[in-house]
Amino acid sequence: MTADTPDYEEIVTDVAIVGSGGAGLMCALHCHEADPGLDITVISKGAVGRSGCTRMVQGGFNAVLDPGDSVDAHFRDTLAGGKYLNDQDLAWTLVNDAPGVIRELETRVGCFFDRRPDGRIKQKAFAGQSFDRTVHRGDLTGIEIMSRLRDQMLRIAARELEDVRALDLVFDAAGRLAGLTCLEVQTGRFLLVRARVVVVATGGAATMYRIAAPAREKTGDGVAMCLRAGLPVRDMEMLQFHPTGLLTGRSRMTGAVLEEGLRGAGAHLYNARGERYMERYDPERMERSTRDVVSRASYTEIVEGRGTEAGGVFIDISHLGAEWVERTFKGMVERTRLFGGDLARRPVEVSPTAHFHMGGVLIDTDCRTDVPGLLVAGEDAGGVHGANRLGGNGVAESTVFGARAGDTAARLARERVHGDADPNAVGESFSRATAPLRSAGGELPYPLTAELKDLMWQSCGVVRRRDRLEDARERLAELADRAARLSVPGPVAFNPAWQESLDLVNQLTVARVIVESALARDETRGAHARSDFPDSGDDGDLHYIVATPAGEDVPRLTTRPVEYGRLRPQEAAS
Amino acid sequence: MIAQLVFLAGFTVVTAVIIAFTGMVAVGARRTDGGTHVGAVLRSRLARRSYDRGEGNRWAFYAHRVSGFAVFAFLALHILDVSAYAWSPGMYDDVHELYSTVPMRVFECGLLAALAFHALNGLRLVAIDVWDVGPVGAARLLDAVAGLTAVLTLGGAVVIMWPALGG
Amino acid sequence: MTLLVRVARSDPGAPAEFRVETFHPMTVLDVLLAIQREHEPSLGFRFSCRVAMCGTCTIRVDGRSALACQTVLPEDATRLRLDPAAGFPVVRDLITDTTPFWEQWARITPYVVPADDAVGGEPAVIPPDSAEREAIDPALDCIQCGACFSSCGIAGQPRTFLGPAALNRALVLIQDSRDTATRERRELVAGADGVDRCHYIYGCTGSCPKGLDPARSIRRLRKGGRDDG
Repeated sequence: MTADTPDYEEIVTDVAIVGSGGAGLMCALHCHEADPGLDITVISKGAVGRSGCTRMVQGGFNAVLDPGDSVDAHFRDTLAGGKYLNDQDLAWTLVNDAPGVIRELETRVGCFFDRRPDGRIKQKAFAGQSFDRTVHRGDLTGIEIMSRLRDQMLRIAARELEDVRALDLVFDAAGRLAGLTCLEVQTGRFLLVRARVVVVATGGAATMYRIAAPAREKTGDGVAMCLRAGLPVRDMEMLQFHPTGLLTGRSRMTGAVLEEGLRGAGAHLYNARGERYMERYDPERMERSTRDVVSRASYTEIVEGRGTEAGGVFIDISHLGAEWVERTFKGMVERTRLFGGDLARRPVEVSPTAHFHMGGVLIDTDCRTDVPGLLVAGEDAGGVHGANRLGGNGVAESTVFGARAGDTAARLARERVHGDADPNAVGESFSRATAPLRSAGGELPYPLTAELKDLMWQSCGVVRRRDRLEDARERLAELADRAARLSVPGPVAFNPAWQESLDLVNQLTVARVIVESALARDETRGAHARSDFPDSGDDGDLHYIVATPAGEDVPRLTTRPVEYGRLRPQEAAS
Repeated sequence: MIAQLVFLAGFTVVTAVIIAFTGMVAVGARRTDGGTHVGAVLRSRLARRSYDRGEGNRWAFYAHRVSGFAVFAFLALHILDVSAYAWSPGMYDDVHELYSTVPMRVFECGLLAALAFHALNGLRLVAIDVWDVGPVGAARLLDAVAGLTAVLTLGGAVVIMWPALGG
Repeated sequence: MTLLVRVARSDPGAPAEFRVETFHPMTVLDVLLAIQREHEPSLGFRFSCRVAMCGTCTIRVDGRSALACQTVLPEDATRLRLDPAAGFPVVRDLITDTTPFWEQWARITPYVVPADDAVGGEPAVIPPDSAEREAIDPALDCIQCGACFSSCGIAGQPRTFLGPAALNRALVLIQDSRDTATRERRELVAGADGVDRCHYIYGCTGSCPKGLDPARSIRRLRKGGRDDG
């Protein structure tokens, strides 16, 4: 410990799980079931089980349950949706484990999904799938899954560190993982959590865009923490935009997703001139095209001046009958009515909205990373979805890989011992965190966050271009400089300005890797669209981009060929 | 005369306790359920029909507690003053002269209102439970309770005040 | 237009009145964010999803519990009063400690206790028009925001009433044929801290941001918990 290291409390646990969304809680549950004697600690920046995005899932969960369906078909759909950039082992694991996880959610966790008239689980249609395989609970599926997982936490009595922000992974003198440093938001107190195994499951970073769907907490903390620890990440340029984010002026509600099922059910998209513009982009599938295609089309309409004054387009489902819409999409209708709109009767203004990060830390099928004892699960991990995620595969990924991480963690916890964290690293981590409180005369974080959101939206958004990206690279470096000199007033206890400044540092860390990776991919593929390279490269010779941190500098990029261990794109086409 | 003073002292205590209890209900309600804020917003909310956000039902709950306690506290005193008869009929007459004074008659009207409201609202709660009338129905029943309480109180007030006002 | 906002602060010396430029549509959450960005960077309040799914932004708006993200300002609003949710200890400013709510929630064994042979098997076959589901479905989608708890005249701290949300959940689980802990739960809800404490204030039903009717669930539990109309 250095002389000016603030006081901190030490917590010793077997398994430390960072994040309390679908992946984090599923991990805790599996870890406990595998070995009830383990001491499990769930570390959550917000309220346990009620922060992050699994809770916000509307549509549902893709799993093969029907005898007429097959995991092979689900696998092919996932790869086709991901434009064959996926890690095939991970995608295969996803589709194979998903049915078991649904059974577990129903019979162990106590979820109840919608049923068909014969009493068996109902599955609905989602874009990009060859079979109706999306399991759901109304249009608020996430509430059912997360509320029940939260209840399970009361059963297994895991230690919950609620309102505790994970700061940095720490290692012992020999470089072995020893645990992580944390900040208790409610009191401003620091913690050192010493653990045999650390699982990172914090969720993505899409909040760095001006129009974005996720919950407040999702600021790329997990990926940034892993990058600081030197872990390689992949596919960082792949950030999905959902085509129908609500536009509600300056309200924070802007960007909230209107669910995909609307387009699936036959909603139309119109520009401000009243043209059904999807005719020009995908005349065959029209609005039922995949998210990347529809988002790009809407974006093009808007930037070419055919959008609304507020920078949007219209979604209209009223032709299907107000009563039917009200019954089928109750949650969505209520969401629009709150602001004086009425999805059941009138067109509603929407825009593409930053939604999900396909990129993340490199993992194997057991969620292991390059660092022994460190596991990553859920949106923090990369490779499962390739270049574009199918609707309904997100919550499937969180729970499937969360469960796997729990099994692996229980196994590893028996093999590994507690290390002694390097006191210097601990001191540095705490001192980095307190920097904004100690400095005076600097900027507040809020305007910088706003600048970051505007910059990412304009320069690294739905459609990208080299000169814009290069400009973004420079401006992000400048923002990072300014972010290092922030100063915030007020107390240490529950100080939102301080917390936002820590979020901002993580967002910038991730944003810089996104921009670098976007510059490196000279093609349009899935969620990554380049107006200077509008075509996709050859499917048979695909590479994915890996970014490896290089100290203070921007990460070093390498490309690796995609391994077609199970399915070659050419075979899929035939 | 002393007996009258003792009764008045007791009566003062009862009134003070009722007022204190009302204050306790009001303050406690603010702490536990957001409770007794009277302001522009509440007034507008009440104007939007009482079933909106359960406002009427909430105030009925406070009134039920206060009226119940008031009736009980007065009854405690009343048992004492009636039992004075066993002691000495003279003392009983002495004390009960006070009941025919104008201020005491006004108080009795208030007591009647409290009694009527508490009894009718109690029946309302039974009705809610038996027929599952829901928040809207409960508010409609509350309107009826309020109306009946007013009628009973006004009718009773005429009877109570008649002798004092030269009837 | 300017809105005069009065916010309860835990530090008595901290500024508590703010003038906020309004825009429309604007929610109470937007008002809080505007105060935080323009006037008081360290104003404490909680929120996460801003679409009524996380249930963490419960505060009192003009005295009544509501989700800040779901409360839209009327266009002519000129004054607004914001307090921390009632019935809970205050952590800082508008942030409350919801432990009392969760203590009661935990008491009813809020998870399904499945039969041993059911775990890992096939999901139960239960038609959507069965009596069981018709009783359960309207009581689902609780987000544990605590608005009902803090609107209840009986549940608030420091009392021991199970409260509307926990009882609503109990009703769901008692109806659920997959569950085996029905008897324990029935005893609890019929006991001293159970349904008989309800006074039909309807604060819960009036404040639920998801449109649930916990008072109705409580009344059903009083009638035995099984669906009998």
